[in-house]
Amino acid sequence: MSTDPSQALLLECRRSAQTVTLLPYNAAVVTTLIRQIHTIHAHLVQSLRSAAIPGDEVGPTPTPPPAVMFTSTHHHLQIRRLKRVLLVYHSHRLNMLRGMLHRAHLSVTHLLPSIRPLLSPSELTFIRSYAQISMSYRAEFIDVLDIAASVDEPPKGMWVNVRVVKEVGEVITEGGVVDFRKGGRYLVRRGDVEMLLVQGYLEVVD
Amino acid sequence: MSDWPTLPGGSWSNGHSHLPSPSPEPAAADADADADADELALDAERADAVTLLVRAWTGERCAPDVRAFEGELVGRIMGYLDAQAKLIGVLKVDGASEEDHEKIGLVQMEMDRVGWLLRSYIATRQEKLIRYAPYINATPAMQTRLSVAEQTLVESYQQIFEESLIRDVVGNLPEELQALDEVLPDGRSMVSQPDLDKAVFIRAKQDCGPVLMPDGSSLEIKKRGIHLISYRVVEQLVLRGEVELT
Repeated sequence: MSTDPSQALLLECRRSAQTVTLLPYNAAVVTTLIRQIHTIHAHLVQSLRSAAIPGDEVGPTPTPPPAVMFTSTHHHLQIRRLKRVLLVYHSHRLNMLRGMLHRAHLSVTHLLPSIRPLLSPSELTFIRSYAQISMSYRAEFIDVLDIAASVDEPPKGMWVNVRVVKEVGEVITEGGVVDFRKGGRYLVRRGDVEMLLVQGYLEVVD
Repeated sequence: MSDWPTLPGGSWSNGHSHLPSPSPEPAAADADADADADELALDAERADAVTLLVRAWTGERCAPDVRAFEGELVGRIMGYLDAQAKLIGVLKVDGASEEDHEKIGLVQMEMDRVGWLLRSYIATRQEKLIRYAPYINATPAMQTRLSVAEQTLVESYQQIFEESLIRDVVGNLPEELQALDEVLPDGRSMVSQPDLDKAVFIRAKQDCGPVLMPDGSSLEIKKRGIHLISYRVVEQLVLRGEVELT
């Protein structure tokens, strides 16, 4: 078990990527790392200042003594690594969120209730604005084509066998009214039930 | 191995010698000319919008960077889908016969497929645009490859992405450490860029002459040749349409 807190964030990224689940936002570790960066940065500034020759800022900077060079390089690399870890962690989460929103057909209202407790406030803002810009991009095509629909698998046929998981009731489709009763199985046009599939009312049986 | 020539596979190269050859090449290389004839016939037959879309889609999925947006083609496909949908609407209202219903079903299925292809094309681009948003916004040459709507998307995405990172990370760091677009001394950049050295499969549509490889040697790309090669080496050929990604 590593005592390095940045390792914990990387591990979380890895786990979340492998299991395709969003883990809760780890505010505690993020704050710790930011504090660490501040501390190391203060040390770095301190050691550089102590090495500088006072009153000689205009002339060419002489190479500081090896001890100072060593510590400052060390500090610098540490800071760079921590910053990178933080950015990796956050952008991984944002990408993850994007993917989830696309799988939910860009419907924030449908996605949010299940994941809200896992997000940081700025991630919440992000996903809302992302949904907005995706919606306006989608509006370019919406008259003819809904680009929010899933592209995971090419359509194999027009009809799809579905099972009703949650009671839906009567739905008007192109072919007429279908009464989706819980537990029932129906053969319907995929386009008609796409939204119900995403929302989890129906599931495909093959 | 004396039974090899009797395999059916051995005969396909000269199987169509009875066909007249529309190829401008001399008929001396007869197997070659035959293959050309087949290909020309196929090309002429398949220059419709859907085939072009399939090519654009394949190219987009195989290229490591974003390619030029096929605005005109997308417009044509959208027009086609729209017209078909309207036609079906009219036919359905008019009360079609049993046979017509069957045909309508087929047309709808075709529309579903074309629609999927177009959605996948758009989604592939969207994914790349978003992944490389900061790079694209900093590179005018890339922006010319996007449609207006895509440019808006990329710009607003970079904005909200950076806003989020600033609020959660760099905004809380000391001032000298707040950059999001630094290039490290070893050449690595914080802005991720498409990996142009990625290996791609290409198929040459014509003789392309020798191509200079990174190690200094040169490679002759012949018509119909299929190569697995670094994208950077053939980028210009791909842009000129002399080879296609497969």
